[in-house]
Amino acid sequence: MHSALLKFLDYANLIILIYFIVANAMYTLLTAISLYAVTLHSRFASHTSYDDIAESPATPPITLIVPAYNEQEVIANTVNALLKLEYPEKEIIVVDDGSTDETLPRLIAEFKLQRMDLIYREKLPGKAPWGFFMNPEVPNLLVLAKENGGKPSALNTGLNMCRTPYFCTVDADSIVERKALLRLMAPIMHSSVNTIVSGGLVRIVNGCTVVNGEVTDIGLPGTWIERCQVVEYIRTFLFGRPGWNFLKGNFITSGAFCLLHSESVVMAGGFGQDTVTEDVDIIATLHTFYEKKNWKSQMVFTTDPVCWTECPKQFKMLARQRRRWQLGLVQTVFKHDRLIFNWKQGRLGMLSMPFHAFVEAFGSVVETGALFILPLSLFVGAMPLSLFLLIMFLAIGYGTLLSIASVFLAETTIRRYPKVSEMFTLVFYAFLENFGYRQLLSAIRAQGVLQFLLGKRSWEVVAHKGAEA
Amino acid sequence: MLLENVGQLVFWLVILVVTLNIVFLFFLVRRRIIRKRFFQMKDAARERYRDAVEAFALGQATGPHIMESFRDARSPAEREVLSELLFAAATLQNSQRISDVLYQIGFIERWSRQAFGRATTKELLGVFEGKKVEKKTKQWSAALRPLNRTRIMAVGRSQAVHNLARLYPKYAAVFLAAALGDPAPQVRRAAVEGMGKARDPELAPLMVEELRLAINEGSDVSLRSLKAALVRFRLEDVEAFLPYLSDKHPRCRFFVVDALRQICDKAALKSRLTKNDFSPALYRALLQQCQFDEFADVRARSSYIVRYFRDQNAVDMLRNLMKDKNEFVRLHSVRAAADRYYVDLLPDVVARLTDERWLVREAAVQTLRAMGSKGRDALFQFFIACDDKFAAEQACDEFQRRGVIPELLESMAAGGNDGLMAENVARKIAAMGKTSLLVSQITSSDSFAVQVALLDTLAINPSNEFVSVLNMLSQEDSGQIASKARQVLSRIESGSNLRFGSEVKRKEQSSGA
Repeated sequence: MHSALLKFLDYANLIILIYFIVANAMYTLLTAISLYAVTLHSRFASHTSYDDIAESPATPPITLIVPAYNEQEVIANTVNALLKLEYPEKEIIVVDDGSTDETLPRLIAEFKLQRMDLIYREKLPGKAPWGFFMNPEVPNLLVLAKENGGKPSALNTGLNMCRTPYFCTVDADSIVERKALLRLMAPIMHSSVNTIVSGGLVRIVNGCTVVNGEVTDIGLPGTWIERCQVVEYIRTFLFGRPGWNFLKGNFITSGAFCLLHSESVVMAGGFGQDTVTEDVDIIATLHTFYEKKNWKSQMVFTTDPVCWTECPKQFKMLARQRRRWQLGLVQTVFKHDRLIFNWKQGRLGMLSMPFHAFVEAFGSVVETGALFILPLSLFVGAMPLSLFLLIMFLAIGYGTLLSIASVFLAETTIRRYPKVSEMFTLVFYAFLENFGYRQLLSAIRAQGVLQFLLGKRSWEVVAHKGAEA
Repeated sequence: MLLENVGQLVFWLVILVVTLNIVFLFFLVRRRIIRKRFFQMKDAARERYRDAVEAFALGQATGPHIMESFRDARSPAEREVLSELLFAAATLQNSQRISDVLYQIGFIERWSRQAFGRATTKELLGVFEGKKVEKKTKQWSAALRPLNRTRIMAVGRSQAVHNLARLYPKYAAVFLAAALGDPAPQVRRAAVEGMGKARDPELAPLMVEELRLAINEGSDVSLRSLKAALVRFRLEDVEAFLPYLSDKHPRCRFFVVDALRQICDKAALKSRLTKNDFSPALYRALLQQCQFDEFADVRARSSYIVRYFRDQNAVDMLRNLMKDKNEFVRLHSVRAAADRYYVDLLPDVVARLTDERWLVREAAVQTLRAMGSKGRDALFQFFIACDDKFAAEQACDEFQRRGVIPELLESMAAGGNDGLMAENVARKIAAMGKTSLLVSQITSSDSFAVQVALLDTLAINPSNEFVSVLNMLSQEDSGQIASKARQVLSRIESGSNLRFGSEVKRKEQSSGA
């Protein structure tokens, strides 16, 4: 019995050691690449005139699709802020996904909307709207009311009414910066390759001052749980995604703020309704579609278009959010498993997809397992102290370097935290989050994997009050 | 032995990570301090140079002492502020003088060296000394091309070209032409954008050549960047594009025609264009060449330019294109006719209301709306008599989206022939079941006459929504509308809409619908 346990622990420890070496090597590579790419992008962006894009008749029009479910507190402010965005030609389609609260009445009252019977041409599956609401004096706002069918269904319904070559998905609780659409469009305008996705930075609004749907003062939130999320978002958006973007291995863009090529999404079948993270799923779907068609395209991520979002303040809500993200990631990885080690997909297939599958999707299980297996191994003598310390260093100590490097990266972008005291607080939390917070999140994410294995498919609702509240 | 080494390894790794964390922290603090100092220096420089630059820009201060004070700018912060202030003060009148100053204080030489190197700079700077400098691309060493293409090597050159593009157009042109040969796409893009701003007709061939390369995928400058630059040209300059309307590459012809269209659209915002705003050669090229181009997109886009001719030839061409076999040509020519001038095309546009493509049908509805009262009447008459479900739906969609319904209700309330036609339109909408907006008008309208007309109209095909509004109104204790609602409700309940239906028929006959 004892020897069998030792043998199991030997194998488990080997897997854990290999996992941490591979994961840290990849994270180090991504950090190095991002340091180069983000710094360089900031230098180019400093002399890029977005006014040229704003004034040019060659700039393609955009539709902003805002799926909304029970967003009565924020919806009017969000739509007002979206109407004020700087962009030459834009339309806003709000899809009320069967809200049970006052979301629709508040929109009707705020914008003096009238119910109409418009033509609905179904290109994609999604519940058809039962009502169309418009005000001819605000011709670029259309509200669709439909039965509840989930976010992907709402996006597909919105896309069925979309008439522009590009559309941008925006969460109802997000705050998009005034010039963000122009910045998001810039890589599309400047690229000689057909750009089908353009993603931007999502940052946490907690702690910032928001007036009339605009962030006027950037600040750090008050609680440790929010501050740790600030560091986490910086790490994800400033060295994860720019790194993969540089390697042409974009697999995840945030649905809170992402520009997509309408025709490509329609041809690829729209947003899938079989995962709980439709934003990740659509990227993989588009990769697969373009590969099958043998068409050339690219997806880009840039760090200067900024969208602010509210992060959960309570641990319970954070846990729900992360479980859903993890469940969605695992669902997407399984749904698009043909992309893993697919040489036709280049670096996406050979590097990004295996990394997302084995490190991001299932790594949480290894990390959580390690929390129990490593002390046990040490206790039963299956592992010497030096090896235990090495793995602990790889699991925790090395993370501090990556977190602090990401804070350094944030400093090189144009929207950093202005106060010096906040910078030091951020550094402190970048160090601190590696001791406890990350391990806790790994355990939650492992729960997400477990939910997938148990066949769970539903969406856990995360409550929020709105940034201005 | 191995385990001992692992212990040591951990120790050294911890030391390494702690050291690197301290290094990052050091750079974080250092960057903050450097930036703070840099911006303080910029603020101080702005204070120092603001008045002098303003006076110089207004022509109030000239002479060597101004040059001397500008030459004091040595630090990067001071140079950046001075160039920012000078560029910001540039107007059409003083642009050349400001560029001359930038040359005299050595800024242009610095930017040019950064972008092209010493040898080319010497040649290009001749433009400031009145020499004839040929506008040609700089040839780069093939061996160093891969290195020079990298983003890190290109960032400085791109910034320099961006600055050079802001000079007086005649000066900027020689630098931008040279920059078009740069191996890095970012630099070439900056050059193309600058060319758009310079609007020098002599640069047009270079731009179209770059466009041709982009179309053939031999260039990594995007078509959108090129087009955005091309549409910056003015209507007076478009003659430069004339030779490319007969380019052998169809997509090149398309991009040139499309750029011309957008140039015309911009010009039309400032003044009403006629054929006299176009050169005879361009006029002929569009009517005789583009109208019959084998590439449908060229035919489609040329219709938008021709609309500004506002003469019989334009009418004939649009009429011809509206019958084109290609749906996009029909679509764009119908859209192009959206002007009261083209009211002669009314029957042709009405014919397109039953086009097999919904985009064309939609464009036809919008065009008729733009043709004024004649167009609107033609649309209403078509709608009332229409048996084509899709065409009727398209028109109904437009009535709702563009706020036609309130106008319709006003006409109904006013009575007369217009009122009768409006009533028939409303009745047709009701018969189609598209009643949501009409129902909402019952309660939102202030006019009793409108409310009564709506109640009668909607009773033809009563929806649940309408019946619930009737119930709501009839429950009100008093008022004329409550009694009318009760009357309509009882008529619906007793199924005696027959009499009402015959009345409708009579009205339709009398309106001549």
